Amino acid sequence: MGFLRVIQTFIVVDGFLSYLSSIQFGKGDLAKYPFLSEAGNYLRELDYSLEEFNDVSRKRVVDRALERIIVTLDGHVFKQLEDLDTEVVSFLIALIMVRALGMRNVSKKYSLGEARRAEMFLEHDLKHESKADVRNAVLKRIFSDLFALNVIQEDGRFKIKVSDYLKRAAYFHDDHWKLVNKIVHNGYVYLDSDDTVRLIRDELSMLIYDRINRMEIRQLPDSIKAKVDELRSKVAKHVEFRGYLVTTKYPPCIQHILQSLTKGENPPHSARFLLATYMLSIGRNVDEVCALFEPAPDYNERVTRYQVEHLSGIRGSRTKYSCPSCEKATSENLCYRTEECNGIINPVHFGRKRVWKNEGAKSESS
Amino acid sequence: MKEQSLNLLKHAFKEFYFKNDNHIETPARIEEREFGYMQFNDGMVRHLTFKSMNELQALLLKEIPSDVYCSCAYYASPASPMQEKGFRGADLIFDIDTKELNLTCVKEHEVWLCNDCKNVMKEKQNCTKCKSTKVEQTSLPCDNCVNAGKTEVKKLVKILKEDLGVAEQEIKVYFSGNNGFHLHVYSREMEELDSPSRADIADYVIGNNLLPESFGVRKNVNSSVNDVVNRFPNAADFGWRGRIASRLVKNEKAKPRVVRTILKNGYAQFKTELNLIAKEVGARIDPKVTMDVHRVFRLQGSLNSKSGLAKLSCSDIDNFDPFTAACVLGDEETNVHVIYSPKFKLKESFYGPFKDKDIKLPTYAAVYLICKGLADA
Repeated sequence: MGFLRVIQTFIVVDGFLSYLSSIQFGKGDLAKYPFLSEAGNYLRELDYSLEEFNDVSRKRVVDRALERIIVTLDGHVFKQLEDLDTEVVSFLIALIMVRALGMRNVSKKYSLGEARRAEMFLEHDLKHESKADVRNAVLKRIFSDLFALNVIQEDGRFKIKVSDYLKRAAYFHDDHWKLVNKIVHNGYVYLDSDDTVRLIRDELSMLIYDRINRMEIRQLPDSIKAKVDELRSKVAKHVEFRGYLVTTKYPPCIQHILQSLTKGENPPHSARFLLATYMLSIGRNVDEVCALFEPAPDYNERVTRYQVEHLSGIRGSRTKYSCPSCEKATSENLCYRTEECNGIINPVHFGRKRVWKNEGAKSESS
Repeated sequence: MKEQSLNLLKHAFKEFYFKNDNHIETPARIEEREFGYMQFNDGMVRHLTFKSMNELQALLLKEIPSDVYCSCAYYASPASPMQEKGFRGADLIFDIDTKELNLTCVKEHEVWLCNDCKNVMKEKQNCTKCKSTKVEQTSLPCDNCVNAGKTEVKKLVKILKEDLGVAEQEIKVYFSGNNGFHLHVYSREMEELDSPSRADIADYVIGNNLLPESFGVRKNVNSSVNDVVNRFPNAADFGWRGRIASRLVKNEKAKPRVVRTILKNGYAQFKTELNLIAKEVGARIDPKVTMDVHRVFRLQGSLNSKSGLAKLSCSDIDNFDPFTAACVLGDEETNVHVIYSPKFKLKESFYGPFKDKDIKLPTYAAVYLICKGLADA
């Protein structure tokens, strides 16, 4: 009874989408993509109840569900692929377990892991699948129906509209994804199969995450409850986060602006914005920030104070402005990246390092 | 600015807006736009909304703004504070500023002006008379500056059309009214893009962040010449691959030799070479303008207080002469004291050079020099 309710939640999400689509997967292909509504429909036809999972005969599938989660939390992709029944049921029980565990970071990590698993199958299907109808089903049912991304096959490549590409890739930080490093023609971006699939991975992860959060679970059978407890004890060691180690050194972009001010130059507006928002973000007060601008030839105390107060949220719209990202600073020619900047996406992250419980305390001087 | 100079500017601007009530173009979906204006010698007024051009025209005659702006964005509630406006989309805009093109001619027509004592200097330095540090550049752009701007506009239009698929009728080019050109793209598809996506488009048209990997050259990998030749683009290839290839490879037979040289010089040097080519081949726009969806942008047809010239549409860019077409103020003679001015051309007539001289000039020329800080009424 409980299981049926969960399954219904699972199906309703995009049941209408499968209705729209006449292209269907075969059972073998569907097993790879258990998040599709067809998989939910199949599950409903099997007519399981949650209580059945207390039965010894179903132990294997419950174990497999836990394994799906553990492998994923260890940072790996769960690669095994079995029959449709096993895949669809173990996927759904894994969702139930993660929901019952109720830890946001585990839900996020598991969702991403399932998305990476789907990515692996999608890459294979688009690259090596010889049957055109399977490739078309992937493009139609997953890319188009689930994520409104129309992908056109052309001469062994895939092309999508520039705007559809940017809506996704503009948030990826590697230069590989910059539009300038792609083949762009007549309003379309040309991609290989791996990049095409990578574009939707985050959305797929969000779809699974949403689905976990929308589940209503009232009572779990003992077999699943026991696995949730096992999962809780296993993940505890992953999530104890102690804090950050922070250096007192400024990032090179900020150092450069400070040097330019010291030399009596007039930095551009974008540099002043970066400096002020950076300093406010790391906890400097308005007086301290205003004082930094004093050496500028065009320094006007009243105007500077007004603008810094505006940025700090004291004045005007009361919005506190955030420090621009490294990407934005690069676009504005303000970035003077060094090796110490590796791995950061915003100047305020410079010199900050996560420390986990088991790591020894290290001191850092600068 | 002195009171008398201000009055002259205000009078000239008011007369223009009074006599030319159709000069300002009505922005599409006017009721969804935020308007703003700058007052002479005063601050910016923003978050205004107009239902019709008549309302805007009334404001122009009442307030006599020095500059008028209109959002590139469409909002549900344009007059509300920024976070409550309800962003519905924005035109894609580009700004080409000839001051940023490092033109050699600039040396001939730029001066540095002390804000405190109006001392004129040929180079950037603290004021040689009063030692003030408040020194600002002012420049009277020449035909060479305009032509350089036009070249950038043409490169930009080509990239927008051929690569990004923007239709000819979706692009409108304007002279900015001072030192450059503005380009507006009215496209439903582009309208939806957010700021990071627009930053990516800006980087695309400039050619920022080109990776050697996009041309088959990989870091820390000992690739064979043949391997890289197979991955290296041809001049006929789409987008940046084709643009770079057409600069590096004259013909297909030369490819192995070019690739051998690239591999010999190494990854880092090829990356530097790509950046240098991009600087020539890409369109030199100001990326900050393109990525800012909440910007209010100079209104088409309005006057620019940095020159007294108008922001004006130029569909026939090759034959467009801003110093004639955009010079729209009256020609009654007026007395001014010119602190300094190199020779300049407006409405087919040459003026100057002047130095510390009282002279009668047509209003448009007097306003031009006052706006540049080089004369007083």
